[in-house]
Amino acid sequence: MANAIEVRGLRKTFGPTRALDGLDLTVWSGEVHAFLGPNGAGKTTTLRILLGLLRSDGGEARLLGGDPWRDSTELHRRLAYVPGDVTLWPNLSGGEIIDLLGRLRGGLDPHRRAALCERFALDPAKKAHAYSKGNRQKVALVAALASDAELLLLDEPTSGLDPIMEATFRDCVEDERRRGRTILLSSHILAEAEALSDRVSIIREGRTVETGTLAELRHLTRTAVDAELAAGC
Amino acid sequence: MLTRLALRRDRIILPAWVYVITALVAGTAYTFKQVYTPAARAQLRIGGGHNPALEFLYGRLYGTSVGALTAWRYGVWAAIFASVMTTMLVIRHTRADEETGRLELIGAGVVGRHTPLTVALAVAASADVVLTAAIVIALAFVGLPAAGAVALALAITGCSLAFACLAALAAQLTSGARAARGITLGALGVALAQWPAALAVAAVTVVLFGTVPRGAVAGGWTVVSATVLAVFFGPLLRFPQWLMDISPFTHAPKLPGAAVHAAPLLWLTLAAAVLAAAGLAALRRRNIG
Repeated sequence: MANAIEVRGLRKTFGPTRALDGLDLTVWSGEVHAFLGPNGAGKTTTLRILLGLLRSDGGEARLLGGDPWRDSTELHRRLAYVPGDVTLWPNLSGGEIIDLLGRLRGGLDPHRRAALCERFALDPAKKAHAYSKGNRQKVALVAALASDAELLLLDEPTSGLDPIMEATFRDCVEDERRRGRTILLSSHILAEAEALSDRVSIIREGRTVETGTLAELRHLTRTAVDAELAAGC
Repeated sequence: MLTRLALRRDRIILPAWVYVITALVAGTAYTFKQVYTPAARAQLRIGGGHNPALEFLYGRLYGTSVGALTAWRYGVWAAIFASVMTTMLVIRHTRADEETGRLELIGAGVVGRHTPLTVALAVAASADVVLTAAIVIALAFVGLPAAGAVALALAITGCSLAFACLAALAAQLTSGARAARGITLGALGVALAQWPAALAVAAVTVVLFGTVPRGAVAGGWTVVSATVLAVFFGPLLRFPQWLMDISPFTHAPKLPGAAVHAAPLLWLTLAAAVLAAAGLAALRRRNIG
């Protein structure tokens, strides 16, 4: 099967800051791939280049077989995106925004939308200015999950969710994996990546440090501790 | 789809703007009609048209009809208000959305790169069309000749459209909604103030921008308020006509009363088209967010 995302040696600078410095990333179709790295490692920049919002300065990026900058409109029909920091229109209700985002992508399934609102305990009748950060994130998540996009790009999707909702989110990702959707999710929490993903790419300062399944990367997390207790302390 | 979103977001603010501007123009016309007889208006021209103090306060008077008096007294103000309305509208739906990250949500949908800006301009243009209709109808009720009413309304909304397009360009060149507003409204002030005063205030803004970028917004507003006052010195200082013609607002009060002149409107439309094209061209190559 073709790869959903192919990134080779991607570079991007913002003025003096080097955000991406030769990043590599391969996401297979149908896998859940975690994009792991500390804050400011370049995760969001990579996602924005993949969405065609930013232009890369060098390197190669292919998304679902197309060029993310040139074919952005066509490609967006087939993907759904949840930004890390969700800002909504304060005077629209959550339900209106979910429908709007759905229509922007060419429609969403009303049954799945209702089921997901129920599952995430989201009240879609409330105006967006009354939502907390977690609830705003849920609005974007419901819109993305209720779409029939084949690729989901999720930027730190759990950063505003409480532990119960985080568990719900993990169940949802599991369901989507079974439906055969490709998911790329960025995170700075190793435990989350471990729980959710088939494969992991670890990046630091705009470069890919390691890629592979967690079993392959196990050597990175193994720590040996020698403790010695001396008498008289 | 995005147009629906924009209209839904502005469902209260836009009708309010249109109502206030229409009421301003029509109310003035009605008052002039009630208060002054034709003979009194002729006297007003003799007294006021060549009275430096009145000219300083309100600008040059071009005729003695109710329409001419209305345009003289409030035509420029209505054009300023309408320009502020569309400036705010365009920036609200472009730069401000981008700054907060809402454009990212939209941009990830099946939406062309140009669509949000085009929609913002289209909504601004429709608001101007509605405003034109509202002013023409209101002035018709007051009993003004139709041609003059249409000309005045078009002069007001023409200015407004030109500034909507300038805002579209400013939204691409700045990194923040407040800076974009500052630049456009600063330019609005500059357009009012005519050239020499404009150079002075532009220099001040540039210096402000270079030294304290964050102060540039406050600077922009200072420029506006300073130049709104300065505009009234223009006719008084007897600037040459070509200098006066640079400002869109010079064209507004000349229109009613006499026959409809197409030239000022053509200038406004041309300016709007050039600015809109520049805004779209600037958008084509740049990063979003």
